[in-house]
Amino acid sequence: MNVPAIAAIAIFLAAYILLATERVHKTKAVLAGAVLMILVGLVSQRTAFHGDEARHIEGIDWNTIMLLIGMMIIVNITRTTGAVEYLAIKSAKAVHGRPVPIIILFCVITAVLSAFLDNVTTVIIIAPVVILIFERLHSDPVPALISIICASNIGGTATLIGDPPNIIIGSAARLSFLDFLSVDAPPAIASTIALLVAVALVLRSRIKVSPEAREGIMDFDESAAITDWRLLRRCLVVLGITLVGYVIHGPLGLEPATIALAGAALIMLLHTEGPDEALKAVEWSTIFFFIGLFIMVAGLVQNGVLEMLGTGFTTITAGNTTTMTMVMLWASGLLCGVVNNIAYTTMMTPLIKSIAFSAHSSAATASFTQIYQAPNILPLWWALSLGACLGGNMTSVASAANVLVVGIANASGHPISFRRYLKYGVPISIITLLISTLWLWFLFLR
Amino acid sequence: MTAEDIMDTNFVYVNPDMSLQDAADLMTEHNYLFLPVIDDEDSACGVLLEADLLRAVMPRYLDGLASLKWLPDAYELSDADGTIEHLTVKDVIDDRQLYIVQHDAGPAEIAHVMLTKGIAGMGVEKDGKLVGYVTRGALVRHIYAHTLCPEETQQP
Repeated sequence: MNVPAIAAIAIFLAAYILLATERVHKTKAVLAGAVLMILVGLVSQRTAFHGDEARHIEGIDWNTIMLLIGMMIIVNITRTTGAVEYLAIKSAKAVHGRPVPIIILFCVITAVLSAFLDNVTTVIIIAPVVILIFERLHSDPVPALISIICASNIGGTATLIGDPPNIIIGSAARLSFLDFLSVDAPPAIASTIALLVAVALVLRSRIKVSPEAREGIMDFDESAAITDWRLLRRCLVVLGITLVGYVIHGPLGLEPATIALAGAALIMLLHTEGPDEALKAVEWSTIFFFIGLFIMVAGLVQNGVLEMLGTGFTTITAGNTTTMTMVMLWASGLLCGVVNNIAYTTMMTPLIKSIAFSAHSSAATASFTQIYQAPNILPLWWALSLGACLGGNMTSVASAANVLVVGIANASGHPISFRRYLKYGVPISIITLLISTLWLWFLFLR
Repeated sequence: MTAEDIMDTNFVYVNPDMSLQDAADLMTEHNYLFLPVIDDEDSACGVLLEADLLRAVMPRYLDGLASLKWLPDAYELSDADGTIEHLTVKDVIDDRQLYIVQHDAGPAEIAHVMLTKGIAGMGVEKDGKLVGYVTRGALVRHIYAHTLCPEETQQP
């Protein structure tokens, strides 16, 4: 290994240790590492900002960045309408305040919204509603909160836009929204069903609520939850158009990022507030976290680090597609329980690309699809996607949604300890990874 | 005119260890919107806002919701866990600092800090010691007394 490669690894690891130990905010740590890589010449500014196609270096992935920004704008304008609260209360009343059916319906709502909007925003709204409802039922909200964490991570797995790892993978491997729907959605739906069965079996006998307490739920007034019907109608139209855009972005020859930005532009035009209000919804700290990561990973790629890791991965797995896929799925699943799944996925996409490039017999002349979507490479992308997203259920710190809900639970006086979460999170992760194993085997490896 | 001319030396403040209930009584009784928090060693610890009293019964995670209009009419903000009676001023003021001006600061400097930081009261320091407190109200009274009143008095 040469000196620049060692330096790139050292900077990456130092930034990662800082962010993992929370000694420095993750965005500051990653941005400092990224700038340092450019300053000491491990990657040129041009390559970092624009990529280098000839050398297969991605640089900042503007598809991911713009898709994230577009969705943040759409979702954050929509959430001010109170539509999610409306759905949640309506369903709690529909089952007459019975706790287990409430949890089941909330899991379904959370999974669907996480798949098509964004799982963090979904749980920011659903979790407080869960607490208010279960406090009124005089029942512990923790089992419900843990269930919706799992539902949000599983739901996010289903689509290209549901979870950041999928956005990164979709962009890197040029996989479309429909590709994700056809490969990731079936195991996500099966996993949601498994979660619901587990919720019903485990919680049915444990949660007891009096009929009087259940009656209290009927006092909630869902029609008052909608703050602005006109805006809601407009948001639903924009969401509908955006969704259609995602479905046909492949045939249209457009990137998903363009669809998201188009949706954001449309909703900003239809919204009476000025643009600053909409742009305030963009989580700039998250955006710069991605930018920093992309630059650091470009530094690792330029200095051959990921090529080396890719070769190592191929050697260990003897280049066998089945072995590589299973190792990728389970290693990703288990690792993403403890490491940041965004950082992990950002690093793994060039690693898979490097494996694909060296595995192809005539890579120099072949097309992008021929190399990076080759039959022996395709299952690796899906294994990474399923592992990184579903591994998010493993521990209470494994994904942003988990950290948020645990924070809300603690603040509400119903703390979820790391160990209490593990009792639910580990079995659910293992079941969903097993479902993914069977699915990938059925789809690609038979 | 300097901070020394405007400040109140005998101002009302709360101690960080004062119970939240006592602080609330004090604030509601005299309609204070905010009070400086000063400890036994006369050093500034922060500012207690009326909003802090609300925040103590209104958790931050509810801010994520679009509205609470859907809650039943009978739903009352209450101290369900009985934790409020154990809360003291220092538990709720976060790390919001009490801004300080030097005793010889002029009205422009004070007004600038108040407007840019969005605050309505500042501690006044002399030789490293807190000697007084200047409110936005006192500053306004002084400024307008010194700019407007002389004109009025010029009239025959």
